[in-house]
Amino acid sequence: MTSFPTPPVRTLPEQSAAAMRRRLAAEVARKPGRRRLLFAAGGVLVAAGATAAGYAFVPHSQPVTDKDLARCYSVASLSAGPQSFTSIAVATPANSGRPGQVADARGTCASLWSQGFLRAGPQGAGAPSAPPSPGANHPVPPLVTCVLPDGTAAVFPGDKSTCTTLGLPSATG
Amino acid sequence: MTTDWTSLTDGQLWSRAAAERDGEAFGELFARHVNAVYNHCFRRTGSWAAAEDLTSVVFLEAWRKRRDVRLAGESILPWLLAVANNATRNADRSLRRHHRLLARLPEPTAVPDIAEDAASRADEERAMRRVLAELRALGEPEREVIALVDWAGLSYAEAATALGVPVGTVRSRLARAREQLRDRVAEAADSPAPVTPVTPVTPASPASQASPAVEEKAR
Repeated sequence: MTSFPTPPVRTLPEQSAAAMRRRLAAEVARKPGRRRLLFAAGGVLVAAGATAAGYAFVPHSQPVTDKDLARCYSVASLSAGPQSFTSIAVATPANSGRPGQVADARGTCASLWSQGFLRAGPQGAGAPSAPPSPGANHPVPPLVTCVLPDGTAAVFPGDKSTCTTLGLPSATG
Repeated sequence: MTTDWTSLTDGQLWSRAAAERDGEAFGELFARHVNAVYNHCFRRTGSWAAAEDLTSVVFLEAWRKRRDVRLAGESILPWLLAVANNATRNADRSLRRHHRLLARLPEPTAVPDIAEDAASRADEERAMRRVLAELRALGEPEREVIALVDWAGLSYAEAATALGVPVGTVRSRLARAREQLRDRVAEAADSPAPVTPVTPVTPASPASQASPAVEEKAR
């Protein structure tokens, strides 16, 4: 009997597990009527966003309100798949009580590009074919910070028109 | 009076969570199985970041589909892994939907500093992608049984529950998958640049016995 071995198991980072558990508890406690209403409202907004008329409802720019994490994308697309972005957060001491804040999402993502952790293309945030080289200076494309619906920063290769194209507000400040 | 959650079975916790919208009961189920789901999602995608997001998707989807739950004995894990299979198969759609859902929930996702152990994560992702590349020669049904039985340690009966097929179908898919893998391993051994080493895999047994590494690391 043979099979291909897989990497050793990992434990979900404690901070992430705790946040997920709290979110699930909130979802479980949510009243069903409200949930259905929100789904319906969400559907209407998504449909509206797909039309030119919907564009008017997307603010041109807004501040990043959730700095617990940020996303660095390797391609100017929200639907290029799970290998097209990576999440970043700032490490803090284990018992500090709250997550660190990503103060400069664009700068942090730029450093991932320059170290080779990110490469252009839809698979660019996946495992690279060669190990990243922190000492090397890989090219960093022009980057722009947009704001996801949950208030976190999303840094894409592109310029301010990229946010508009993706139906996202650009980040202020 | 405090509840001794550990004395309750998965079925009892699920009933309590679904009937009374008891977040603590659902939280206990989450704590019991989160790492098994997380590692299963990684083995299906080859990405720890995607696995983390998909783990959240799986539990939210499980809650949304709570009326469809199928217990294997007293364990809910096979059903969670079935939900995970669907989520990873439609990873793009699942994650887009998840991001929309996050927008209306109070808690943000928190992830560790990517620099913390980025190199070892990248090594593991490369290794897993090589394995997944080899498995592309198999059909999706065969890949699913390999992931559930050989990697997640489910028994044949549990895998059958997860996949919604008879136990005999699991056996035949697994036999077919292992035979094809043997052929590929032999080809790899004959080639001048072997792709991946091979290791023996124990016969399928109940999850609690077959996946001690998962259980230990989960604690």
